[in-house]
Amino acid sequence: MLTSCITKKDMPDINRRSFLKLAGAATSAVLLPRLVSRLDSNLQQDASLPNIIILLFDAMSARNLSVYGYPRPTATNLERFAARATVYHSHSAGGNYTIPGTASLLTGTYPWTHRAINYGGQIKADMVEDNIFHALGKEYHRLAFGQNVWAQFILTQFMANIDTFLPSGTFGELNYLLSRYFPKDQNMAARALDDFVFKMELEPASVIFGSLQRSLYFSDSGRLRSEGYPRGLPQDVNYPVYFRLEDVFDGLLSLLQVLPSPFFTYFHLFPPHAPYRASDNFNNKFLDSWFPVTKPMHRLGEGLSDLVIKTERRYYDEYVGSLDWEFGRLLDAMEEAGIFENSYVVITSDHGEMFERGEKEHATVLLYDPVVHIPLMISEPGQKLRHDIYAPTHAVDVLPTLLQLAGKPIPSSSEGRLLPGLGGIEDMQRSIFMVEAKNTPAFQPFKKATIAMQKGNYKLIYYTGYEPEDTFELYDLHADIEELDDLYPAQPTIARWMKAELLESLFDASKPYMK
Amino acid sequence: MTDPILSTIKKIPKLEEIAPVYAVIVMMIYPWTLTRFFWKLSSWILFASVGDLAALFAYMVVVNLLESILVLLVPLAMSVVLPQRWFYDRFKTRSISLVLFGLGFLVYLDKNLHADAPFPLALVRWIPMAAIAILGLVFLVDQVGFLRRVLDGLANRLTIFLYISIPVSVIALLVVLIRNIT
Repeated sequence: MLTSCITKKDMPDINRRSFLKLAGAATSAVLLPRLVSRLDSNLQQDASLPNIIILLFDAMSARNLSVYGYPRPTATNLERFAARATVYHSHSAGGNYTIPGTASLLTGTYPWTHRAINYGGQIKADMVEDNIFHALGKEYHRLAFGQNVWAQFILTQFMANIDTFLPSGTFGELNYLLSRYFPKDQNMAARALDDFVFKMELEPASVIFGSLQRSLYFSDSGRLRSEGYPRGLPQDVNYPVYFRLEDVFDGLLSLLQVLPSPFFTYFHLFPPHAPYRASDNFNNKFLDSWFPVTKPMHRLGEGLSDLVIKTERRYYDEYVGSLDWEFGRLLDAMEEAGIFENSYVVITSDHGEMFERGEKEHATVLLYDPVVHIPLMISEPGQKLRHDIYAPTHAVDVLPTLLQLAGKPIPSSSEGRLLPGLGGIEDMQRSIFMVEAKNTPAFQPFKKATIAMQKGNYKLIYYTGYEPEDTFELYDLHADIEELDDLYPAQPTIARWMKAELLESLFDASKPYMK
Repeated sequence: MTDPILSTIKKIPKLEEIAPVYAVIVMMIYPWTLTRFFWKLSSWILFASVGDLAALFAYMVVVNLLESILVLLVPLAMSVVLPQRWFYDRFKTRSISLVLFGLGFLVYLDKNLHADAPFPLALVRWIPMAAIAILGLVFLVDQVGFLRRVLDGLANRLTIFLYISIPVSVIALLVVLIRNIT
């Protein structure tokens, strides 16, 4: 299992272009022999199967992408990609942050089923095998890179089914994560060491090593050169990792060029997750006169001022633009290498991001469209034309669809459907669910949670466990995408009908946990 | 001519002198992390099994075990390196006050190493001065009979906790090793 980490720390001072070449070569040099030896030992591989590449951008809201109609040109390269892909316009995440969103994508189940619902949470033990890596089987070379430490928490539950695992700090400029030194127990080591004893929050939990690590980290991070990034180098917000977007993308390309076919790669990239660190070609690019719709504060929101939210939105958009620019380079290189000819390439996210109602980012109990509406674009091998799908789809649909495309059986646990355009049909009246329950024990029915159900044009949001009482909101997403006009009191028939279905689905999901 | 290895070994204090010093170290290092373990426990119990919690605890204890051994090496090294009458002859009292003041300073430093706050550079610049002050205190405390008796008595009573911490640490070490071998 590959667990070594590639960092630029301690590299001699060389110019940028030669460094990037060196980094790419180094990546290949490290990975290639291991991959080739793995290929030799794996005679079951069938080169006629298509490759599958999932490129996931953490916290990327479809609502902030120009490819989905956002007025700022944040995603011109994603638009280029979309020209050769099936574009899903109403695609939703399983939840509003990494743990439930990633788990839903990789298991094809809703958060109330896989139960990875808490901060740092995990998929329940009897469902761990129901993951996409296991389902694809050994015919595929399965590679996973969880740049977000919380994505790594989920991925390391599947270690038995992953052939090559790249830990969070891979391709990083500075990496103080320790779990990479525990390849056989990466999940627990990450939880115990990176997320507890040596976590960069409050004071160190270890008197000697904790203070030593933090002092060295402060010293090293203070010496980091942040040229090209006026707001500082991109970093993981809670963990000691800094990286450059260009290095990460160069690293991915190097990997794609050496992987033995057929391969399945899951690249879970941390950007554009906060902190938003745009590169200099996008810094202040969106200091424009465009104003998003002003929305009222929500009683469960953070209560931030419109000015703060507007500024954060601009920083986010500029970071998305920077990311898109790097993606453009990858796109060019992949085209040149002919990767699109024999690969399904999936672009998606684990959850969105919101800048409204007194709330920013996604550490919220709210489930409004921007925080759950995520991009999904899938390019089939050799696809040359764009195909648009407007029916509601969900992250749980990705697993069954990819398995079907790979000719593999779909696990009975899967709660998703085949995606329209890739074997499935457009069903405008289908019900999909989004779940936020980070403060509920994973082994109990939901006592404090927000559940959203989308059916047709309507979306019902249910808040339970919050003062003063259980409440509902109902929106018509077709007529009111900004979710400003709550129809719950005005449309009692639709409200009653949707409420009954939502509560029944929630009850069914809670049954195994009722005493 | 005396054998340097033999003379070095001779300057390593007896186990009954080392034990109280180690007990003080353990009582300063383990509870610091244990307190934070209980802070996090409320979020872990939302999703973690008893086995997961035991494994988390094992990793934490192993870190503490390594830290405590590292700290113990400091007075042991001083005992070997410094002239016999400076440290070896007064190993127990001077080591206890050394680890108390030394770890006390580190705890104070840790309190200021808040992730959201700027790095306390001024405090770090004071480390050499603090080290000199601690050494001064170590030798001063030893001159005050009352303080000496208090420290020795305290350390002797703390050794009882070694009967818990050492077996727990050994089991934790085995757990971590087994998890990373198999």
